[in-house]
Amino acid sequence: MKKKSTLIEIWGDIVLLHHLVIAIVIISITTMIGHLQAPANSRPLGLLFGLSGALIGFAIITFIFRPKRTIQVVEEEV
Amino acid sequence: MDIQTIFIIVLAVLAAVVIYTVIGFIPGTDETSVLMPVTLALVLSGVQPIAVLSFFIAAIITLNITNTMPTALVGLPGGVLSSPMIEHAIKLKNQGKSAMIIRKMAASSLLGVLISVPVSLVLAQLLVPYGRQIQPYAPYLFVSGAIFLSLISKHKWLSLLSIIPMAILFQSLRHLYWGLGVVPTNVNITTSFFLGITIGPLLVSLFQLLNHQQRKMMEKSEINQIRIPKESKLTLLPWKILNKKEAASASIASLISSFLFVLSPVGLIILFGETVANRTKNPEEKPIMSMTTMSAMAQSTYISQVTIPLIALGIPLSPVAIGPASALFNATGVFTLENNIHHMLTTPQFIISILIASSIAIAINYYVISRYASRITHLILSRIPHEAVLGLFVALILLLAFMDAGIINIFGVLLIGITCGTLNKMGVNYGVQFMTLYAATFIVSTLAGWSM
Repeated sequence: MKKKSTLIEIWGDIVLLHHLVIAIVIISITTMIGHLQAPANSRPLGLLFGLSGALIGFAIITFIFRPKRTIQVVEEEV
Repeated sequence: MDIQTIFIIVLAVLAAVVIYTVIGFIPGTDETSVLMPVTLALVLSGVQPIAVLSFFIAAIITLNITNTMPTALVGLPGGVLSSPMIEHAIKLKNQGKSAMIIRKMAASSLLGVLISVPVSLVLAQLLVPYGRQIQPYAPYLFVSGAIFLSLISKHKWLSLLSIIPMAILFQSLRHLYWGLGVVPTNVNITTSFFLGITIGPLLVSLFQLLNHQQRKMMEKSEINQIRIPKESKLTLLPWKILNKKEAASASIASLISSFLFVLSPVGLIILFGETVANRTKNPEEKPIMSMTTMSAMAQSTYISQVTIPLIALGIPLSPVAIGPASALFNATGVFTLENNIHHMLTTPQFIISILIASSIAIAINYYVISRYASRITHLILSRIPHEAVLGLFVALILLLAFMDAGIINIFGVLLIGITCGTLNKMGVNYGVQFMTLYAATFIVSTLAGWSM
């Protein structure tokens, strides 16, 4: 995979292509695992468990990947 | 109303404020995709209707003010409504005026809430007598809505011509699932189709990444350089923050837009924002006037579009009601168009919960934004990667598609996302697409009647 470090602009901000793929895969997996833990035939619990899985996936990605931004705090002269 | 109910309302409001303050500061979090699934989860879990309503009102007020913060501070769109502000925001940022505009926007947001809540409640009361008469004509209204929104959009013919094909797409999937026995014939899948439309443009962009030539065009050589201005500790009194002209413009725009509750919020915001900018002669004042007017309208459009159809009609006859607020009207197994929050709450319950929710939400937000906007933006931008946001959206659509009709629907929703997303990028706006989704059953059965 020589394309590994491609920076892409999508949806108004910049991402690393392979990070994006990993993020989509991991969050999708945690979401569906969460969903499948819920008792069958309970729509509300299915949704709640799924959303919790999504949040866990979101937290994992936030933990393992840095945002592709450099941030500087500046003083404004008024 | 007893103390216990009020306690539950306050609790729901505080939860909404905390959750949506965090979400709002994250750039690119589309309003519909973050409001609808959470509201739906609350509705399905059997939370009291009055608490769901209070949660939703507090959520939209919080989201509409916090979404403008990444926009004003770093020039990234917080959500759909803040995208028209980008150009002005970057201009002001380059002049070193971000800290000033944030306070002005918080103050005009406050004005927007103060004006649109009472106006919407009164308007809703005036429309209540007509509500019952209007309800049987809902299918006709949705079709007229789709046609009307097409006619006032920039790409009239494109929008008009896409209505029937989109309706056929939605109905063909529903009939396919019924025919295959994937879902019972009395179930009309809406939620996942709806989110498919919302995330459509993102899905199209993700698909473009799979095409080498198109991916080349999206490639960048450097990461984003972001400069965040420090906040200042000045007065919190709104009348000292806005000058007379800004306050007048924000108030008038909020008032008028509350009456235009059937029109798309982002469309109204662009229309009023540009009108105000064009009427302002002084180039220094132009972006400020425009941004303060737009941030007041973000509140007034959402508030009027939820409260008026909900209190007066009980059918989702506004872009917000049909979109982010759809779970308040229609949630499989709990709410239907014949029995939803409109039918379950009394007028005093509506008024009290909306007043409590909006006043607590705007008060907390006004203070937090004026004092801590820079610090929160810094924290969020340095911690939350954009990849996580996009991954979350894809996972949400996957979940809801699977829940509605299993694995086959994941691909069905993908089909809807790519089709509607492509049409969206060509110029068919969300309003037309959502109205068509609601009108699809009627459109297709009418066409079938003519074809026999």
